[in-house]
Amino acid sequence: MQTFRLKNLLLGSLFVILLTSCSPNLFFKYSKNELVTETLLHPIVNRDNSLLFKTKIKLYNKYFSGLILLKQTDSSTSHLVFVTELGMKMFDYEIRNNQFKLTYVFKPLNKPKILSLLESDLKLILLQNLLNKEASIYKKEKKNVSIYKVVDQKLKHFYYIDLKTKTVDKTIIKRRLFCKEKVHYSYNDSLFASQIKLKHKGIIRLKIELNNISK
Amino acid sequence: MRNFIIIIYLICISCGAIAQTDYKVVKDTLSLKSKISNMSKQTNSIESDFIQVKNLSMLSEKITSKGHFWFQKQNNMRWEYVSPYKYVIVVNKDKILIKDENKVKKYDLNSNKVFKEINDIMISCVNGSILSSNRFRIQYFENDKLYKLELYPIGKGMKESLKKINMYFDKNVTSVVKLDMLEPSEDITIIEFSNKMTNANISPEKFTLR
Repeated sequence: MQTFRLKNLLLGSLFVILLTSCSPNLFFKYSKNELVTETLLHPIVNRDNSLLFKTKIKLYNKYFSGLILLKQTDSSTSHLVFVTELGMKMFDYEIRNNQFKLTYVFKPLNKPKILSLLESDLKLILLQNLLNKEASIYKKEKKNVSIYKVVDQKLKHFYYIDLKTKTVDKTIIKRRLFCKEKVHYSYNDSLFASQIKLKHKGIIRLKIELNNISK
Repeated sequence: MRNFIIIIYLICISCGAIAQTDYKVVKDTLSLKSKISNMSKQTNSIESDFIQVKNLSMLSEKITSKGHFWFQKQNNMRWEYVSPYKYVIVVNKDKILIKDENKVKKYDLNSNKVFKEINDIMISCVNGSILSSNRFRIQYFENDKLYKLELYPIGKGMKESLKKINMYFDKNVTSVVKLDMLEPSEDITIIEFSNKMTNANISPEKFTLR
């Protein structure tokens, strides 16, 4: 009988851990719905300066490295360009009003599945699923963190916002019960992203890491 | 006002003409080819610093990186980027080794067509043997300081990623001093070599990675 109880307790604990390990903190309380603009949130693409990142992409057993340049070219347009360390351009996305448009891709990389995966992850990294969207805001008393929740095509996006700096520290994407992706951000003193790490959970084994470097 | 526009237009035209006449067509191409061929034969090794500037034309943005370069006949090469990132690429005969931060990856050169193509172009550009390649149509130019060779790819595949390579040689044709690689999008990668030493002994360790 005691063994049976112990087994149930263990299984129950495991189930609770599985459910909560990837969930936004349960102690956050719903506050309101609000349209997320750049006044509420510090964007990753900087208006005044281009940003250069040393980039590592690990997709299953394949490893790619290079440099990602992020630059705003006018009030509504930015570019995300990936070049290899040797200077070869691999792809160039134009981002206009939250829409991604592929303006160049190196032929061997021109594979719909890879590009679709890359595009959705780059959108996630650049907070394109949050900016100019209505989010449910959850708050916790005496804490400097809010959670912004956006639901998009059966996926729940949870953004952890530092209220002092208005920066996103962490993003979690959930499909029903289980976690799909996680993104972690670190910032320098000027609040530019100094490191961004994205990791897929489950079947797709993809990791992207961006480390800011000065040009 | 109209006259003013015409004057500006004429100035622009003349500036363009000056820029174009900066380099003139080489008359005695046979002699130049022979000098480059001799240089290629006599060069057993090269050690040099380099500055690489990637110019993204659409964005008016430049990415500058610096490093060291080693080459040894026949097919050994090391590009070591030291700033603003650390990255080493070594070609050792038919192997490519890449060190990114502390991780070393090995690839078989013959199993990767893109790597092989890039490697062949880089090595033949550096040692000048690209002239004997039938993959480019070549035009020869000179000014009072340099020879400039403009190489236009012939193959359809290469044309998609490369519009032109400009190779610059000093007037004594002792080595390649600069390379420009133009892409169809008008982006350009410029590699300038400096502090060059030819035929110095290079430790075999330079062409291995751990």
